[in-house]
Amino acid sequence: MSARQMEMSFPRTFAALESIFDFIQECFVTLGVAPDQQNEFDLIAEELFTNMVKYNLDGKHNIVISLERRGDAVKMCLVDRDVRPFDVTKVPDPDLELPLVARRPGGLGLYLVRQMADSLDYEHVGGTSRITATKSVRTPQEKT
Amino acid sequence: MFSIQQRDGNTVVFSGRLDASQADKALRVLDSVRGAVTLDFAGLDYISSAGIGAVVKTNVRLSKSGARIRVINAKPYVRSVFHYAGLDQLVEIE
Repeated sequence: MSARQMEMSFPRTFAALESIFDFIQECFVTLGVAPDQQNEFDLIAEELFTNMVKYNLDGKHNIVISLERRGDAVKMCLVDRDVRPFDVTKVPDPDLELPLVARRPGGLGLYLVRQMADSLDYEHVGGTSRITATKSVRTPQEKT
Repeated sequence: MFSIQQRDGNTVVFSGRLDASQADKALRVLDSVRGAVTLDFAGLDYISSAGIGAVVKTNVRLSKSGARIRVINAKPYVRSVFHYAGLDQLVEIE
């Protein structure tokens, strides 16, 4: 694995979120990404990770998260094995006029992911789900 | 680290990071709120859909008695999540 890509696996529990955020922070330092962009990546990771935990209840394996710097963008990938398909890119947007309790489960979190990420891709091959979110980034010395 | 504290009856002070692992903790405090409430987000660094859900659930409950939620001191990131979630149409944000 190149120095521009980092990977770690996490247990299927919400308690893993703190470790995920720590991992993303470490990735940002190694990949040279401005720290003020971390909250957006944290949200993308949290929403996708918690969806995998909640909606693939039969999942037995740890969820693998990787971050890779490609030029001016970072690709963040979440991989879950031995799970049924659940295409997060096909979930319709929530009706923002409705209270959350009346919205489709998972809809708001995935909607926020689509707002934060530049692109979101999903594939399910051989029982393995792979979700990839790509977002442009700045290096720490760059100004917006 | 996330903390939430109710002060002087109608202000709830948030600090740290409100993620899915902390949403139940937030909701336990918000469930005890009666009447109009101010949520002080000055120390809140991060929120996700789980935290948004706790705020919306509280707003739905309070609105049945005509009470409203007011949010103050939200940082730009938190404010942007409220905006994306359409919450800036449901609650007053200063």
